[in-house]
Amino acid sequence: MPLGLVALVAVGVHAAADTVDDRLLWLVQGLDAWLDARFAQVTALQPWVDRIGSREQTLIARGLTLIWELAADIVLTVPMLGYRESAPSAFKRETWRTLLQRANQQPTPMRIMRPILTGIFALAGAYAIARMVDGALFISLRAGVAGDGVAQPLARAIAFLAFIHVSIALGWRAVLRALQHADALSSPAATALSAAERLAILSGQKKAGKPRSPWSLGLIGTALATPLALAALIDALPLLSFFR
Amino acid sequence: MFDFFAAAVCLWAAAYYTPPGALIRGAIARLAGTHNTARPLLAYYSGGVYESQTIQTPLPLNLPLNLPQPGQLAAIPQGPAIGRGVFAAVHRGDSGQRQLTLALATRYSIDPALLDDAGRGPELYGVMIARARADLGSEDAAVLAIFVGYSAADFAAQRARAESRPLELQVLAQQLPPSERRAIDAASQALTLGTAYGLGWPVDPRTRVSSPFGYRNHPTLGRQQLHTGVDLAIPEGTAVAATAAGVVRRASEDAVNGRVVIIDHGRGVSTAYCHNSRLLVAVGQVINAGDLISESGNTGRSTGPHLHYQLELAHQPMDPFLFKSAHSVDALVLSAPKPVPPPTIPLVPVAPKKPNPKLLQALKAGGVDPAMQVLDGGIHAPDRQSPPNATEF
Repeated sequence: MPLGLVALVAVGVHAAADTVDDRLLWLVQGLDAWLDARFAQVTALQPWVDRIGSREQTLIARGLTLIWELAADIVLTVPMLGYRESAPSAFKRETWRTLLQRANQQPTPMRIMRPILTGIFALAGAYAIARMVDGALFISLRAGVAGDGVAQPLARAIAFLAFIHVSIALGWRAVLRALQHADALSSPAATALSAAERLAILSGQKKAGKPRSPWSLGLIGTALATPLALAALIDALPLLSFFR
Repeated sequence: MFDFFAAAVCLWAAAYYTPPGALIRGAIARLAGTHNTARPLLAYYSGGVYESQTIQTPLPLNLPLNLPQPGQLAAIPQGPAIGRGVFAAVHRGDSGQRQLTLALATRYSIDPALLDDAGRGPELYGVMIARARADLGSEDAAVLAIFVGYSAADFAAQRARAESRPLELQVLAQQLPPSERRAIDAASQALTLGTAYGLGWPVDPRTRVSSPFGYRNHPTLGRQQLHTGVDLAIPEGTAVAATAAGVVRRASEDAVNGRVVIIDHGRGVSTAYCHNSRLLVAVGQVINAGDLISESGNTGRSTGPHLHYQLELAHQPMDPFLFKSAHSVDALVLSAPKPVPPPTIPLVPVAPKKPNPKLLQALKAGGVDPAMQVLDGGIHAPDRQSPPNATEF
């Protein structure tokens, strides 16, 4: 199950990154044109003009997209590995209630944003998976088993069921795990100094730095993942397509 | 049980759909000593439909490994541009794809045996694509149908419509499973080549070529270098037209290319027009074939007035003459060009050859002025084999 959650969120992150790469390419092309104009004004730098051609621009843009996707994957999918499927549902309801209460009392960016981001990517991943199931089923059914009139609606119906099932079966688990992880990192126990650290400060071996604030935890990861989540909402979640 | 099945489906999707999945599959293949079926990591982004060939070739830049050889490109018979592109790509497919192509031909009442005919093949492919386009809604979907079959292309088109997205190959490819990857690559190649065959010419097609595409001794750098375009000898101020519809990707100036316009025509095809004196377009501008985009000049690293015209397919520079045809340039014949002034820089010395007297006699008998036609003792097509001069870049 933890691997399934990792896979679901990773598929959603990739679906979002896939809609962002062309925009990054546009930025890289604009930057290259601007740099070429600047290099052309300096004699020593003129050989650098056109050193980066259209192929290199594409490689740079896609490479940046890949790095961005991998960074978002590390931030959001690694916590999924800590999911444990052992408690009865009554305990799970208690866990949800407790976690949400703490999030309400201390709404840190981690507690609010990470579950939302994970939920968005889980939905985007479920849609991408349903689309793959749709295509694979249609090709398989069409290969001698059923005609177009049967294969298409059947594949679409099964794909929609797959979307619902993956979203419900795995999506809530991913959001719960993200909430647990954010709560664990934001809790006073996590942000407090350990006994060894307190001793080091008292003995002068270490300077007392700024106390860790739960409000600043995970801001970089959240900042990395939020634009991708917005892209997923705008471009990678056409849910009504199942009914058109 | 169902939850476990859902998790398994997610793992399958991640393995075949995402770059991290490709990394893991590659690592497993390496450990097990088996063949790695994962694509290059950057090819997992949908824009890679037209760039998968580029991304697969290792740096430094090599000649395209998957595109047909130059000799094959030039040998593709005349016909509609997209028909020629499909004709060039379809012969590189496997037998399974071939069956789907023949089935589509039968669907549209085209004799499958004639598809391989050198004289009629491209024309018939053009007819097939036009009919399929009417049914499926776009040329991209019609070309895709030739390689994946009508049903799969129709399915992909319907899904794309349901998602309210354009019926372009990148979008259609996302609707099909990974098993169709080879067919999608073949379709992308057909569309790239078809778009290239449909390009016009930026100036009068009769303009003399002062430096062709290919390796040469660079006139200013003094070393062997690939000339990635063709130099067209035209006087300063000559109107330059876009060779096909597209979007202006670059309209800027630098000390090497001078005032340069680069146009993205889509499907992995782009053209560049260098050394202009004046630019008439801006970045992001949508233009049509034949629209005036600049006035030629002598800016940048140039030793005389000329236009450097460059064609790239999937980021690989290609000889524009491989795709130049009588049909494609008819619409772009401009008004009579200004007379070309004599070069101001001495020509590269070439040992003079005595013209063949029998040939001279034959030309005079035919009413042809030998002084205009005879070069190096033979007759040369004026737009292909002009002697080098100092206006080249």
